[in-house]
Amino acid sequence: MRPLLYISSFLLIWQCYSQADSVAVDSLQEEKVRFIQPSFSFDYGKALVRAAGFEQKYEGAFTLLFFDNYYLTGEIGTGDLEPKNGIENGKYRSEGDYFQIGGGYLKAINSTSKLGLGVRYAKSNFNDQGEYYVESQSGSQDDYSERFERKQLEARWVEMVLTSESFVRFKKSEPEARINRLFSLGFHLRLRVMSSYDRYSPIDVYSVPGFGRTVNNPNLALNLFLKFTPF
Amino acid sequence: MKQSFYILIGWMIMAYACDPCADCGEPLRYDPTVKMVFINQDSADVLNDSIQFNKDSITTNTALRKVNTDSSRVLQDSLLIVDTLVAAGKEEYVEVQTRFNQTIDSLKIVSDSLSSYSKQLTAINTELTKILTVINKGTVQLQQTSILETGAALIYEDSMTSFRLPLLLASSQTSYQITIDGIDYAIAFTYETFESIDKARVAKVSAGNLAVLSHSFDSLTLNCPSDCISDDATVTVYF
Repeated sequence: MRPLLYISSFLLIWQCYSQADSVAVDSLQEEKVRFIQPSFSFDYGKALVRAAGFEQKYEGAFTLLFFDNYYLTGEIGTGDLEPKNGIENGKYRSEGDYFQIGGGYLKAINSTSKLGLGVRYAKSNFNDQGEYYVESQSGSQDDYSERFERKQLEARWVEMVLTSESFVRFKKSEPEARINRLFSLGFHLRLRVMSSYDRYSPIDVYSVPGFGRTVNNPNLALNLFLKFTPF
Repeated sequence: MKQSFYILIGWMIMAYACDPCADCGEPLRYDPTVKMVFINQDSADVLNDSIQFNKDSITTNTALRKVNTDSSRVLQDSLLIVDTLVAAGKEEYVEVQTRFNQTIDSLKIVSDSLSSYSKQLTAINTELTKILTVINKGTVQLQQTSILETGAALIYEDSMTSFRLPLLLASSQTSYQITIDGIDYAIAFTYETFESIDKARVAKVSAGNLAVLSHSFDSLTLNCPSDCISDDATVTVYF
């Protein structure tokens, strides 16, 4: 998991750098308040993690922004997690889908960047399986392995989400160009608190798609997203 | 932008190199075990008897030496009178004087012999006590040990005070044949296996409710904390 932390932290720094660059060319201008603005976003951080060969995770969201400040959002995702240290002397895999719904408040801090705070309610449906191996230290017996598989598991949690996003300026020479308002880069910093999940003993569910490791509760997570606002 | 991309690549390589779980997925090398202590009670009893016999002999020797010493004093007192008479010219007491001197010398020789014998017995008892201590600690050498269910031989090359016998993971019973000093003994355990995982996420199988099913030793005691779990249980056998 440490490589994921490094990648995430680097991407966050990179993101902040990009946003700082946007602020530098900022030109505050009054804009007309719009009743509703739909947008689609894609978690590119998860895609990069997938590309790096660590875990398979995808997440996307549809958001409706009301009066430029209030938003409702629905996020769906899928994860196929194989945490290496799920079982030190074996394998663990957890795969499934999840959705998150919620809303919040988004405030423009300048003409290109926004900062927001929101909440989410999330549910994940998933399966997990694992296997562990024991080798006889004395050599007096055959190697031993035990396998388990649990299907149709469910987990629910709530999140508090801090959001930061900035428009990507493709035409810096023309700040008001339409293309400069189509795409945004941003991040969600999430504090996830598990409310319930299907527990097992002695080897409990280790990883929940969308939530992460159950041994960390509350769980802090970072999502990096690219948002497309067509209208 | 290009510079950031290079930094990202470098960062990912470093992160991958620092992966803390390089040996994840490797099997755990482990057997649930029961600790065995072997006490050679027959030998201990023989040694205890010998030590006590020697102690009794030393006591008897001491008493004999006291009688010898007392007799020698009486004779020496009498010899003083005989010496006076012989010095006064009474030749008929010369023979008595000679006999008294010979008897005193004999008593001294006997007393010295008894003393030497007692010292030897004390030295022998010291050695026997050392051997008894070793036996009571359970220091033995197992000539042969095998698991009857699998036929696997367990190798214990050195003398030890305790031995950890592995319990079979895929079974609820393990039986052993143990050879000590050319004599075969047998012992069998029953148990229930259960799996557990610790904070370091290492999964293993242990044996609980451990009990002795049968044995051919003189006697034994099973000492274990609650639930009688493998690795915590100690069986002391007397043979």
